[in-house]
Amino acid sequence: MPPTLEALLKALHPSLDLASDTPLHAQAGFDSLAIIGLVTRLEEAFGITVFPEDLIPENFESLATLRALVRRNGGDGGPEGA
Amino acid sequence: VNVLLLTSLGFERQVERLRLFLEDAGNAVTVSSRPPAAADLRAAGIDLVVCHQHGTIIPAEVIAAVSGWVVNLHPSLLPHCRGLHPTLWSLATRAPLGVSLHFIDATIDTGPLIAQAPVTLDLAHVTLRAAHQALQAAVEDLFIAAWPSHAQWQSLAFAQQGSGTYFGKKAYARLKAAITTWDMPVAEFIRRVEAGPEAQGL
Repeated sequence: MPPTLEALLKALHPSLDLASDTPLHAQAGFDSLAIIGLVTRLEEAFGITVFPEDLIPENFESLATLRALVRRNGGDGGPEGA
Repeated sequence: VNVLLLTSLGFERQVERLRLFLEDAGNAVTVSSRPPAAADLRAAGIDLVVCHQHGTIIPAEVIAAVSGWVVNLHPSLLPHCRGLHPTLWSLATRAPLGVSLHFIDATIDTGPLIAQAPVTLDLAHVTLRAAHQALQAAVEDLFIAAWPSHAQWQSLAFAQQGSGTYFGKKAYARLKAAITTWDMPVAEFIRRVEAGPEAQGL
């Protein structure tokens, strides 16, 4: 069973504030390498393919936008609020 | 020249070479992974949009906002392997390897060519990762070599010859199944693609 999206994010980047109004991609420490690392883990954990057109800031704003990205690509992003 | 260097989120470091080259040549450069709006380009006074490892389609009104000055660095010898993952498809289909600099038009990777160059790789000894890096470096070399004539690019550009090939999202599953690691030999990758999904245990 894949981890929840929230658990995956917290494991990869413990300093991310998932409740903040600051977009995830703009938070300290969540740099370009971290984003590519996250994409790789999303593909592995949820069995999805993230295509180049998905790599835009809007998809990496929050837990909700990431969950929508995973679902759009055929994965289970987990329950709302999880 | 006021340049918008358009890439994908997470790829900002991979366009550093082009950014530094353009800035050293006296140009203003903005790096962005956000698909631009026509009004934003006009407001910022952008003269030229350079797409490098950028994945979204550029709408016609955005192209019009900079009078057609939107170019793309494409790591295949167009019209071979238009669309997604051109490096992998060039290898998988044994297409001639090369790189292209072209204008972006209304359809995907079909715009007039500014410059092209073939690339030779020793496929018996190179990995997928090394092949990808070599083609990315080659397409940046091509852009840098073509830059001195940038003011004439629109008059120098020429139409692509032939229909070539196009690979979109659906086709990618075939490639993905063949990749065990980015450090696998290209020859093994080609063998697995050509063997098909049955041979890969799918």
